[in-house]
Amino acid sequence: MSRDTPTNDEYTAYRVAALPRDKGEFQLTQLFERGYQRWTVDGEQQTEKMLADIERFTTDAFAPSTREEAAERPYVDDPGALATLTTLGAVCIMDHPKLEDTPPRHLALLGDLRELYVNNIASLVREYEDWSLHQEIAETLYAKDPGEDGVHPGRVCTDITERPEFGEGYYLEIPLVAASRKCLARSEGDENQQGEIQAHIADNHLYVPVSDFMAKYREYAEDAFGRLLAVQEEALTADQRSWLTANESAITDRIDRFFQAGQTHRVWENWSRQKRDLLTIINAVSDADDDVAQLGETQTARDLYEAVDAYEPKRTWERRVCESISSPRSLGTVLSRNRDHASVTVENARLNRYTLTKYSDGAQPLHVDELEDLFELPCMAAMDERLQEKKPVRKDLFNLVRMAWWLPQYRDASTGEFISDVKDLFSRWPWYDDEVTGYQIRYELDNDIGGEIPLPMNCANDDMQRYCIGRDQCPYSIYGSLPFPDEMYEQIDDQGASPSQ
Amino acid sequence: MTGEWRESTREELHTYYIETFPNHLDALPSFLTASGPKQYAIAFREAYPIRKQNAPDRSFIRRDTWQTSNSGERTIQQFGSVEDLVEFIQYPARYDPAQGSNYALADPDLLERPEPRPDAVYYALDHWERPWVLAVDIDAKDIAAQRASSESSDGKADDVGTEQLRATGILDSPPEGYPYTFDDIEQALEYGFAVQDIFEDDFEADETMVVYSGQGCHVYLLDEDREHHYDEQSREVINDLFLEEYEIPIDPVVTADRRRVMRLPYSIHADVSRVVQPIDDPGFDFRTEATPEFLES
Repeated sequence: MSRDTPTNDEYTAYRVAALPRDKGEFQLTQLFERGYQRWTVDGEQQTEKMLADIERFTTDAFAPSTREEAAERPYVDDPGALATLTTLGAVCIMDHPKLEDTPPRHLALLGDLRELYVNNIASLVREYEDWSLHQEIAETLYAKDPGEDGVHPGRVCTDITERPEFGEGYYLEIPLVAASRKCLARSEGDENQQGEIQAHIADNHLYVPVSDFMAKYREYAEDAFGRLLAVQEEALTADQRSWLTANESAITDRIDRFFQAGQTHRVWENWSRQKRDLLTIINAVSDADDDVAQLGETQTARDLYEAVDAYEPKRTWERRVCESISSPRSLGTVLSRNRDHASVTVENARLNRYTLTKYSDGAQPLHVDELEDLFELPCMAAMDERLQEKKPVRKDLFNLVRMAWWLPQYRDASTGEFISDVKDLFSRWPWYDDEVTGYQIRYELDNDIGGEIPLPMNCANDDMQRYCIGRDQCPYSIYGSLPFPDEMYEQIDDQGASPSQ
Repeated sequence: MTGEWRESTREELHTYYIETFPNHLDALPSFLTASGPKQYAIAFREAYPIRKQNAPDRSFIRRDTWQTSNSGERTIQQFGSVEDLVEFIQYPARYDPAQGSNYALADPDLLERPEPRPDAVYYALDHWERPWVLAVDIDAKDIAAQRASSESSDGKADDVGTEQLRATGILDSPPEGYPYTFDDIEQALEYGFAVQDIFEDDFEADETMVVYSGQGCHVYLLDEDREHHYDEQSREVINDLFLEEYEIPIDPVVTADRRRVMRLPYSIHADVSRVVQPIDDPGFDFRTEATPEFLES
């Protein structure tokens, strides 16, 4: 008997699409196979049709309404097709010429796609009538961490059943011996307090409402999306990949339109602390009821604060911003700090009245094929000009070396190669001395901060201010425009604060 | 004088463990044997020296019931019989099973100070044959503290001070000077039997036991089948349920910790001179029914 695979068996397809993190590569590849069958007629793949579907799926994913509706009812009805459309759409985004150097986790557009996938798969699972699928997922979601007694030997979820005495709906039955705190299904609590326990106890079992299962599943699926994408990227041949990106145009066009409209925050995760603060306030205001606050109207910091206070963002960084804004006064401070931003008008600072408009930053992406390209940044151009006149101060050297060192082309390069290129760059200035400059570059490279490679300066850095033309004037942002790699942003995350060296 | 609520004297403790305690041995729960728990432990009122030079005196000692090999296999039984255990409780320094070790209690004949007497006797919940014993501790002073905090303005039960206990009349109500009242002990016993009902009804337990602990009670779930093998993570769930869903003020630290020591039934709670013992009824009168003979005479 041949074994069931996602290709030939619907239940297996659901299981693999729902739990991709726990499945082998073979099964995920078979899930994509199932997806491709959707566009196969009489053994022949309908590539045009497939491409059109990928384009539509991906550009629809950019619309918040599509993503939200998918949480109510599936946008795509088959798990294999869903996995295929999502991952191929992701490949098209990542291969966009202006984005190919951006680490995927900083592509907001990939986040949109992931959200559509998560909402869609959650809807599919909810509608699937075979409860054993829910039971299998529950085994993963509610499993105990291995403890001193090893893994619990029995099933974690022994049944999915109705318990009218606890209220309407279905409950997962979890033996108390298999239970851990994650089975208590707490409601969302206040800042300082845990939420209330939603699970019930009877017959030496916990009964966990299925609603908690769905909430936990969404968290799991967010994380699992990365695994699907990795397997798809592995499975695509170079030819298939270039065929795909050469032939699709709708996704590229849509991304270009975001750039033209200055909507780069739709494309990238935003990396400047100030921009994040402002964007969060604007998002909160757009989300608020009209009688609380709205864009385009003049209102007080108190009104705007009310909107922020009521806002329930999904993104962690937005949540952090909301937590940091603790009063109308602190909100006013954020807006005053952003008074030069195009989306902020301070009508009357004394009376704390402001007008906010739709968010738009203008951080154009910058390609750096040659190090000279860095001088397209106005601040760097200003630095170039100064270095024609005067010898460098150490901060200038530091800044150039660090900025260059984090560029993708030098991530795998030898120190020698890097130094040679930077020396070439420095030779444009009259004070250049082969030996001294070589020593200076080496000196900067050897200087780490507690073992970590120092970050490049960002726009908020005080030492950059000497060269900054004003951020409202500048179409770029150092962290937003330069193609820095993932590790750099991870280092920022680790340090927790807005980087400022 | 049966209602007297005071600390036992050294002599009274000695008399109790020599004369009365051996009569209760048959009544000890059957899993308490010379070899069953992994440890017995004794607390002293004053620290007593051990043999090792320059090591601090000890006011609490734990003694294993077995020696074990490196792989944890049992090798030598430390208390050969219940009599050995009883002698250790009666004369801890003379019959310390750690003889030969630097950490054994110092020989009383060589010291110019009285032999130590047990201020409290404990056994380990961790048991060679029944490693899954679940015990819940309900303490009258926690109930009193909660009462005091709910009557005061800030509502924090964790740091209820003497002033607050005095302000709410707890310190001056019988038993005077203790951080709880007799009503709080009665309340603790009522909670104890409620926990026993929950164990039986919601946890499907067959074997349970409520023990009057002197200033509250301990409730045990003793079933041995696999479905009652609650590990640490499940015990955290049980804690949360008792505290939040059943609203019973148990001590969560005790519940979660399988290596905890508990007062040995029929030992004396020396702070109040009462006999720790299994009870069947919340109406149990700890003022009269737990009185040791030395208070009755």
